[in-house]
Amino acid sequence: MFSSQLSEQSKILLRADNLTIRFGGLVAVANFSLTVPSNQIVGLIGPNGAGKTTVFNLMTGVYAPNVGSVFLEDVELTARGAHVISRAGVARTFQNIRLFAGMSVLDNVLAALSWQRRGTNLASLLALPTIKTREYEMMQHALEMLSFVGLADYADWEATSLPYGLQRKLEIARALMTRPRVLLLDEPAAGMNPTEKDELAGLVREIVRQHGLGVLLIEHDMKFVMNLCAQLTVLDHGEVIAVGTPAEIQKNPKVIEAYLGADSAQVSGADGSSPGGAQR
Amino acid sequence: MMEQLLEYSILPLTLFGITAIQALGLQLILGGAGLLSLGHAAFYAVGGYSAAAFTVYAAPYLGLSQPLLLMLISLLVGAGSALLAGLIVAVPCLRLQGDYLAMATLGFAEIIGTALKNIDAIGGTRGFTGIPKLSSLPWVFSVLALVWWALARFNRTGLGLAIRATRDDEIAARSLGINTYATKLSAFLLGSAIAGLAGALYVHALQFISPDEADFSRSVVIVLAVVIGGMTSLFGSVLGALILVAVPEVLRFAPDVIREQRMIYFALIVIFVMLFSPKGLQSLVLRLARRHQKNESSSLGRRLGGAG
Repeated sequence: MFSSQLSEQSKILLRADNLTIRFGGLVAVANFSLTVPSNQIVGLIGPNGAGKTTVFNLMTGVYAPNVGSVFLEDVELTARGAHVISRAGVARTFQNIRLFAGMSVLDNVLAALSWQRRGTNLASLLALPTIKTREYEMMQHALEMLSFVGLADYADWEATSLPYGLQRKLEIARALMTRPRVLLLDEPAAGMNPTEKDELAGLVREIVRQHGLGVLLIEHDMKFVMNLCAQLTVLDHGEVIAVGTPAEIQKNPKVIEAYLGADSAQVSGADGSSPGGAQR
Repeated sequence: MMEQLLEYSILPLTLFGITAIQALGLQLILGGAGLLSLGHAAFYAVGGYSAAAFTVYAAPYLGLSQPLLLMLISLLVGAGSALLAGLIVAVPCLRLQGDYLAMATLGFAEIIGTALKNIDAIGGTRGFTGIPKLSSLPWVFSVLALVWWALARFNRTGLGLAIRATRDDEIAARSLGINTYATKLSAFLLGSAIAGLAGALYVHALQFISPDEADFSRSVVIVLAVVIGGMTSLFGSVLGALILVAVPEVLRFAPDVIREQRMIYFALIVIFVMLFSPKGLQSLVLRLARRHQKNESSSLGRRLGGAG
């Protein structure tokens, strides 16, 4: 069940080396390093405001780091445009869901293919027969992706009219349409009920199994993270305070201190509940 | 009497068609890409002037005289020159966002207008006269229909989809591999080129153009047409153009005091639209049409499905 051990074909895909970014006088992330291997789910956790999403933004080209570099295998992605990084094979979802509000569920997914249709614009404008097959294939591909995440029945819905949990799934479907090698999920389980979370965990495992992707996950729900991830990196105040397997991280006094404060260092999060829960 | 009425209606109808083409071009920029351009009339004027200069100066030199061919080429010249002007404006301006982009396009439009006033070969402030009559109402409406049809199809192409995605969420669009700068640039250039088509039709229908056509107030009228009609729909832009042209025509028969307050009526219409139909008059029209059909079942099914 636990994907703790590295599978044989696993190799390092995404590598962040020594990333640092300052906003004015504030050092948001300092000396951050992390690797994402293929066929594996790794987690990035830390208290609110630790800089987790900033790390995602650095790795996906939303921000350019002041120091450090990002590589996808041998290709340097540091400070390349976000669309270049996406095309190279790094896809992501967003903590505060960013769907295309005015568009249907299907169009949201098709948008990920829009730039791959370059050169076909004129042909589809003139409704040339050659384009029909290709448009049909794309539509087919999009619908398959929607049914893969369980959204097949919602294709013609307006994206933002979907229930919250389904909106998160739609973001995953949309990201997968770019055929990524690495998928970054920013709090995918936020706002979901336990059943939905279980489904989501199954979906993420299935994505890794089917496509051999490397997945990097930011999540606050410790049970979710501990179940899914082989390796965890803990961030606090922009700095990595611990790296290890879920079991190691749960016992790490520095981590417990970061979440609960110095006095609670003896409280264990080993029961699998979230650190917030352990405080009670 | 009937004949006179028909003759009288030709000019307003021509102006409606031309305004509608302009509005369709701006709809792509404003409604499609979400970019507020306050200089749309300047691209229209550039297209008009260039097309006129082509038929007046270049065509005799090239030995072209066949009216149909001449008009077709002048449409291309109008669209091409407006596209070029759009490129010069857009390359620096599209790095700006929101209000700053609006200001920058406004500034560039003023520069274009001033430049047109100062070129003697095209009439300077007096305007460009002596342009041959090559286009007419059928031309205007044919081009309008063609542009409308092409844009409707364009919205379904990859680029059309990318434009809307970029408008809705630029960061998300980039995360999907969409080059948002190139996408916005394409929308801006296409919209400008369409304005250029309208310019070429205008000069050859009215056989005259003055630098006033590049004026800020003209740009505002096009923005109003798109906003009043409904930014997100092609039909809305055409409807908006109809209103913007019809209101002054109707007011022609009203006393001076009422007639001269044209902009006040537009302001009132905008306020009315924003209050009662924020998606523009097109959605009001569609809602009324739908009420006739009473097709409630599908929306009910959707609401039930949404509960889960």
